[in-house]
Amino acid sequence: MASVIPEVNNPGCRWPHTQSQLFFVTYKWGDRLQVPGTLWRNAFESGLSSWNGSPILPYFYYDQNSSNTINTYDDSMAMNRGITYIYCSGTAAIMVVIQGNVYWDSIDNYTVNQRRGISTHEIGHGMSIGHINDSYPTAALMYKSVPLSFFSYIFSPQPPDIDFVDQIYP
Amino acid sequence: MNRCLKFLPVLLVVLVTSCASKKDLSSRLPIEPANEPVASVAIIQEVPVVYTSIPEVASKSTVVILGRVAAPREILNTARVPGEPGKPDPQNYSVGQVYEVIVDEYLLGQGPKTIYVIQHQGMMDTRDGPPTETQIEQLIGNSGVQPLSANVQYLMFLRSSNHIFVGYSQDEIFGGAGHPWLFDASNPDCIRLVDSLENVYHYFPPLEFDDFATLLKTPLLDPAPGEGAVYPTPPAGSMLCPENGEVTPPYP
Repeated sequence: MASVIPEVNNPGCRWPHTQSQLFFVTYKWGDRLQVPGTLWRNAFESGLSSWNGSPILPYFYYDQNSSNTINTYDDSMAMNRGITYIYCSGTAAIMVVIQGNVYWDSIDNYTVNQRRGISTHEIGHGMSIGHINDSYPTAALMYKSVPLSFFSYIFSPQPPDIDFVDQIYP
Repeated sequence: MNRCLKFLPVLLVVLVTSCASKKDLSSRLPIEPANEPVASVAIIQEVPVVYTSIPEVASKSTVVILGRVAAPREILNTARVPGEPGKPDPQNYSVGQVYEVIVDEYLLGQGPKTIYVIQHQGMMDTRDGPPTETQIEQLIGNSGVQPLSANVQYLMFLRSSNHIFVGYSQDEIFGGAGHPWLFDASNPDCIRLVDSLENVYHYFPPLEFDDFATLLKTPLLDPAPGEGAVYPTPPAGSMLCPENGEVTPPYP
């Protein structure tokens, strides 16, 4: 790993893990993503696959009894394309709720890559990590605030994203 | 939250052979979550709706107005069940502070003299039940959003919505078009951005009103291949207010 990548919006808690050991973050589909093959379900599945295919220690694992949920919402007044709630108990992450906002998809007519980029970014927060500052010199999926067009090009974890997770979960 | 307190272990022992190339996997003992029954705290991480130029945010707006807040009204939950535009979402509470706004001038589009503007002030998980007033107040306090002031003339980029908000007709209620949507227009020599997202300040330096109005009427052009899409260029220095310093893009 090169230099330390500063974390923006540090959630203040992490999934408990042991150094150098793979660990599992379980998830289940929310009530609005029960049907396979839908646009957002596909996008989140792509996001899960791309993180799981990266050389990092957290691994997303489906468990229908998980408290961690992936879902959608519809909010025309919230100026966000996706949101993740990270629940902390002290310094330990205990639950995440990962969601995509279908409203802005209906307005901006996302491409497959854009929807995938947003979903993969939110899945990244599922590891209880914050953002990479937008000024970091190499493009990162976990940048904090980028225009939609960014996700046309960057829709899967990039080298800084891998290093970022690696430094948080060494 | 009850849900959190009865939270099940989330780290399972599962052999995943496809990850054999990762770091030392020789020991895959279960890692138990911290067993500390203390109150949990929810941290919110978002992908914001971000625009990078005035023509772009104008293209996403139903109307652009100069106006003043007459009075704050109620707080609504603006989250909806997907596919049901009139049904508040029981799983999310999205704080929408409604303001009654007197329109001084429509710079783009048209509408009534008095409109209602919803300012988004935070969001929370409500799968365990509706929020208390205290929780809503905390949410607003933590959102970093600056409430609208009655003594300021604002320039607002607003979108109408197909969502139904009881007590308001769809042609009189609007929300922000994205980041940014709100500018302080009290001084026509210097229209200043008001936004909780600091990075958008790189794209929207203070401008004189006439320059702002010119940009409003500028058609949105597709960027040339390889230009502008990923790392947009900030406006030229000639457009800045006299006292404004140099502007740099937020991206390398």
